[in-house]
Amino acid sequence: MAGFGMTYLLCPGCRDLGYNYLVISLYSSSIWIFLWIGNSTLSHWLDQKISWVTSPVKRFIVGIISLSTYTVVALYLIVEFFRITFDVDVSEDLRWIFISSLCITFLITLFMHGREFLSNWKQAALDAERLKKESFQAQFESLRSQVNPHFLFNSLNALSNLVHENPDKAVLFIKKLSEVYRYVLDTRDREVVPIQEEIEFLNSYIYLQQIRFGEKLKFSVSLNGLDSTVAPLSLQMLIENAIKHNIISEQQHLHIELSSEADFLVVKNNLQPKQGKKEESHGYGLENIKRRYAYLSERKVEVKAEDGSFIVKLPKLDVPS
Amino acid sequence: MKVLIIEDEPNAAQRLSKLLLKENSSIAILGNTDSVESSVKWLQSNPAPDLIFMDIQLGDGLSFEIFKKMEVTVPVIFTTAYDEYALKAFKVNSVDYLLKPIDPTELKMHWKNLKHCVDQISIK
Repeated sequence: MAGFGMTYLLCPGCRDLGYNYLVISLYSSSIWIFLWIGNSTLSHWLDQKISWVTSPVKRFIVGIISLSTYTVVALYLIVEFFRITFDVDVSEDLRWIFISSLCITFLITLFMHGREFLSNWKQAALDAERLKKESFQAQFESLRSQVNPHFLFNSLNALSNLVHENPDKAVLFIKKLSEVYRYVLDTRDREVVPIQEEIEFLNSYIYLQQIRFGEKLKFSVSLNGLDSTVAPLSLQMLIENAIKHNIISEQQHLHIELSSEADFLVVKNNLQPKQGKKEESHGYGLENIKRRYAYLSERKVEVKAEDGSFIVKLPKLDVPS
Repeated sequence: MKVLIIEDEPNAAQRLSKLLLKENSSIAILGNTDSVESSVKWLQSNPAPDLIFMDIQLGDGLSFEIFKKMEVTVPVIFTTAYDEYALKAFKVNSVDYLLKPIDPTELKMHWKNLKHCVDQISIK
């Protein structure tokens, strides 16, 4: 349609030619169609290959070059086709149509590029906001669970026992307890932390739990020499879950293992669930970790129960450059 | 007086033992069990104590489960970190409950009432 309109406007001499008018309009229409559809398709294909968000400049340059090349080639082919089929020779008028088509296509694709670019950036911004919100919620939950009566009173109770029995140990206990809270506050605003930092914090946390449960709670941590990052307090939440939901008694000790596989951090414990206990935040911690990691990695958090063990695998995150 | 301590944290059990012995050296601590299962086993295979100090959160569940599994006629003092289970505790044959961390003065105060109750029950 636009082809017809354009021909009418730009080639006054053609109007009188009747049949030729039709051919020429067809000419313009084909140009429009091929350029419009071709450029859109090419543009979409490029969007799949090169992301606007991660390498916008590259995408733009590649876009300009490939679309221009395509446009020129397509136009040349159309011109040749029409010359051979309809014996239409490209005269000054048609060359003017040629150039103006190119310009209009260029403008339109520029507009479409801009729109595509903006929509991608908007999505990225939304994702970032969502991750921040999840992260804050996690910090809040963790903070809340750290200061809720269970953790705090049990810690203070353990401490009050220690003070009389073993004052030196009590001093160490207080140090570890404050280290735990300091880490929770320090990592409030961070989405990921180097794994070595998390391990240091875990050592303090594990120390406190070990004082409480003694021989009945056993840990084995083999995560040294790793340089990936991890979502803060995620490993701690998994340990806390294990303690919360499993039997820990003289008859049934709980073993929690932290280890590393090719692409995952693994938290494993022997499964001996407590009977019919309805904890308020049942499953929330694990759900939160899954959601946080969904934003941080393409690989998913894996949860499974097999051979009497409960296993959670967290994907290793790359160190941010 | 013979006392059984049902408490899953070894430090807390040790602390309570010491406080009780300090209060009255004639108290005999018969034992310390740390789970519903081991407590039921102990009560079924040992002569009944005069008094039980019972933590509410045990290694394998809530200590109320013990009362579901067997009849307990011994007076019980619950120890707990918070009040959530207060009402439920009184429905069972609880004499009293103490808040953790256990305050020696509190224990002393309750002990007087306690001894009175236990003596009364023994007379029967």
